[in-house]
Amino acid sequence: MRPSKTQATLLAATLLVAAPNMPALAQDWPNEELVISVIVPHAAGGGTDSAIRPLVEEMRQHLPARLQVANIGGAGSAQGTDELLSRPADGYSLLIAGTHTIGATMQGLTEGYHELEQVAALNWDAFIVAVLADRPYTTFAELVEAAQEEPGTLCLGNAGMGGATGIASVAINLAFDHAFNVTPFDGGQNLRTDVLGGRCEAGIFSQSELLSNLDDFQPLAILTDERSTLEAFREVPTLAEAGFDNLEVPGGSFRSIAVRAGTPDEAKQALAEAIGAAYESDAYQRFMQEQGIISTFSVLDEAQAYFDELVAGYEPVVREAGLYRE
Amino acid sequence: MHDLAAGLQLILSIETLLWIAAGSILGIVLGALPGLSATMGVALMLPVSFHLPTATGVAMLLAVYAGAVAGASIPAILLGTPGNPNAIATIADGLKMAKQGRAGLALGSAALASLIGGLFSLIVLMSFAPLLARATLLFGPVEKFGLALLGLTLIASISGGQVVRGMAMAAFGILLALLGSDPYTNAPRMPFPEIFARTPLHNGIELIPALIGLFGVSQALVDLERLKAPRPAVPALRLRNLFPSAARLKRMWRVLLESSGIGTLVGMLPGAGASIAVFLAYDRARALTHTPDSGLESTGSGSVEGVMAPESANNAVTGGAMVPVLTLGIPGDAATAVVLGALMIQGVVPGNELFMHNMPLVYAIFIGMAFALVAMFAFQLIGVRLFPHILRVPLSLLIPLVLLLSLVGTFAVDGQAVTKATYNMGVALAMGLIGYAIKKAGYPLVPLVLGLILGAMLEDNYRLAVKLARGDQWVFFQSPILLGMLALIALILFLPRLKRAGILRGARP
Amino acid sequence: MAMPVRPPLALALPLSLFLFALGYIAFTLSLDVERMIGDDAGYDPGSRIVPLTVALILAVTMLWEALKARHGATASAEHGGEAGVEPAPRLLALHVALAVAFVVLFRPLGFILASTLLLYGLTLLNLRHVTHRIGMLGGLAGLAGLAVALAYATALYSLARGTIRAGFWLAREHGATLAREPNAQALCVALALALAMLLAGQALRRLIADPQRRLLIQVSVGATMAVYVVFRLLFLVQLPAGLLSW
Repeated sequence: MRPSKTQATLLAATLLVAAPNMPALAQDWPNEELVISVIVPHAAGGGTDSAIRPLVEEMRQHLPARLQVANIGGAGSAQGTDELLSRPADGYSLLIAGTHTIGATMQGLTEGYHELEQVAALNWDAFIVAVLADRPYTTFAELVEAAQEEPGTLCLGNAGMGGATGIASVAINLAFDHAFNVTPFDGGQNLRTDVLGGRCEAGIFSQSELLSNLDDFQPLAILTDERSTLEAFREVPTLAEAGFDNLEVPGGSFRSIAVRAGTPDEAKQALAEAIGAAYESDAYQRFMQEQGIISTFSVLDEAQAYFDELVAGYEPVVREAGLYRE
Repeated sequence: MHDLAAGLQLILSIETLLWIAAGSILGIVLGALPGLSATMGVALMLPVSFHLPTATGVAMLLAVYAGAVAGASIPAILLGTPGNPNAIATIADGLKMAKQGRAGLALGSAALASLIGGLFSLIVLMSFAPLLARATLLFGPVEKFGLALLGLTLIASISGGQVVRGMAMAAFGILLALLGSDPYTNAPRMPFPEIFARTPLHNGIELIPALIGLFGVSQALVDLERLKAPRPAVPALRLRNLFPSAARLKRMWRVLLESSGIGTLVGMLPGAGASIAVFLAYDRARALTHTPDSGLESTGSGSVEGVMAPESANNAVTGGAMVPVLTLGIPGDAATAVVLGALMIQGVVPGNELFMHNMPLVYAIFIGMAFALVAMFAFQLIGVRLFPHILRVPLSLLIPLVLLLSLVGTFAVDGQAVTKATYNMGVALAMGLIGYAIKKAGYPLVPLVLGLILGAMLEDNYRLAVKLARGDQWVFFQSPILLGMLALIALILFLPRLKRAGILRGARP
Repeated sequence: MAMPVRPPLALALPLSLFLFALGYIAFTLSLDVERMIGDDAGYDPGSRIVPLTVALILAVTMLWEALKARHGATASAEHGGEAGVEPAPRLLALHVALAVAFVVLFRPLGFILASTLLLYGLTLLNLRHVTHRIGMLGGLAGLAGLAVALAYATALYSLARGTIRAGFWLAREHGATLAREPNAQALCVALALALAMLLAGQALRRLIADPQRRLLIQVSVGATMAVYVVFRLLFLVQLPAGLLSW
């Protein structure tokens, strides 16, 4: 309602004084006039982006404020993360965090999870090591053998050093005594193009990235502990089954939604509810099933605990790989 | 076709049609006003396109571009001054026709030619692009590096015949693009870290503010010198018999085909734009019409052919220029450099990926371009009637408006990152001043823009190529595609010199 | 004592870019060489090679051009002898100054006030440049017009805000979800503003005699509000409210 003239003046005066310190108008969170931006720290159309947009679509129905997805890629996921960290902790900026955040933070590319609070833990996309269909290797062991014949010749590509595929590729390389030429590509799409074009022998892909070119690729191993739930990849062995059960490697790309540390509880609670409702929707559940995405949903404290556990698990791997930077 | 249907769905909405219409109108008005460039209009609308769905935004930008290219013919015909360089070749016959009392026919033919040229190049784009995109699977880091190099060399050598200046501007653009952080390790790469580290500038100079500053702000500042230019008087118009008869058009089919073809081809060459295409087309038309028994009116006498040839060529450039943009991520000319910028900030990756996994978007863009052309045609005819009123808009107001839109538009692209957005406004202003200085010194601006856009592509792919080749710097000479491109580069650089030395017998200089 | 001669742009530009290139080379050399993470065998040629090569190209080309300019061989700007086209250095400086002020004051003053100020101020300067009429447009009259424009803009802004609040209220209390759709709100506000401006036009006619000044005020405020509707209402860009914090 339009305030009366005196009220308006008083309000204006108070706000003039308080304005620089206020992140948002003092109202129930969320203020429907403001926009909640969801920062995806990777390029549009990539694996993370495609997995998140359907969720955001569903979320629109559960939040009165408007949602906007912003793709801010660069330096792994570091630039998108830094962007979030430069915004006020008022709940109007969300970050799609996850294993890429862990990777980027541990390698010193961003402050990352040190300044983030998890709102919801979402799901996993398994990593698969794959080569072109016409290549002679039919198992992971054969690929390693071929690499070891001429160390440093065979290219093992990943979607960027800042992410989990980067760490996985370095960890694998170390386990086999630097047999591969580990090469970072700018995102899963560029990796796929260069493997398809024959310029890189093998790549570590997210499962969803291989779905559209099934015939062109030959998956050699899946890096998670269990086999894939998808028909197309049912036959792909895990590392343990392939004979390498002592390999400590990030198994997939985990995604979560995080906010900047210090965000008011009211905002986090409202967000958790909306995300939960969207996640449980039929549409999103079906989407996850079709993509073979592994669900591990939890919110707030539980999600934070889950994330912290992941961080703890990553640390020795990253240190081993010589990638850890403060 | 499932993708085509999906594409239709993306673009077929009242909102999109309205935006495309608005873009056309804006473009035509901008084109008709002397002193405002087509690229400036596209750059100013970039922040608007950012907030629209991708296909709508791109179609709208192209509508502005097509409109500006077509609209430039209005003052060219009526007043003898081109609205922008796209219509320089239209003056010869267009003005003559106006003086002969056939202004209506000239204007209508120009509009029709623009439509024909645009549709022709769109058809070529639609057929050629998917094929080329598939071929880009062969383009790895080595070839992409070569492509970036080719684009930069081409633009440096084509820019007004001053190769050295073009190269310098391209180099300057690349150096600016490389500032910020190392692409592979994110290590800072910004001088004076004490000053910059706290600011958003530690990521270097962002593309959008630079584009808006270089094309929007600098143009506005340059136009300050035109404030006192006398406003021309528009002759009274009798608008009847706007179009040549169908039989006439059939007789000129060759002129139209060749002009559109020339425009499309020139557009496809990275960096070459309409200013070249229109003259080539006009020359060709002259050759065709001056042959006896051609049944055509000779150019130079106030002939419809002389108007339709350059007008179809300049609009054909748009479609042609979109080919390298969509398939390789390399701009065909200055305005499509801005369109490429728009695609980049929407996160669209040009090339094979786009055509393999996002065909609906590609179709949506194509359909949007078709709408844009139809809108351009429709509104241009209306624009002709309103032209005297358009001319009354004072430059005194337009310049501040352009400045406001440039600065606020830059801010709008970053939405919620208020600090970054404010710094970007400063960047746009600074780049505007640099652009102003460059223009005043007579240096070409387009190589600078290309350097900004392609700089990262150049370095990233160079390093990746050598890394994949295990440190072998000679890998570049082992790729047949790259060698072909190097040969092309050498040819382009040395062709003028060879011609001058009389070694080659070619078209007149 | 000889007056210091300002070198023409044809020399100044290549010279400054030459120095820029040298500085760039020094700067690049001062940084550590970066190689891709995980590049054990050192296949990555490093972060220096491309910047150094390009900077070298810039240095050489700009040195060449600078020497050419020194010997007076260069042609310069585009406009040669077009009627009415003449350099306007003071106007340019004023424009730049006002634009810088705009950027600096954008957040403290807020979009509405800063934009109105910029449009009004620059257009006024341009008109004065063209007509040389000090009396009608300059000095006190100009400032008074600015004050009117700012007040006018504030009033229109408040009207817009009121309309928006009403829309949200309708959506909240009466379930009319259409009322909070960006497009619907933009349309309502646009209509309300257009109406208000028509009425205000009548009021202005009584207030200010000179039609050119009236037009100046209407256009600068109108353009500001149009940009507001498009960017803030349609595209949901968070334009800073600044002083107008309601």
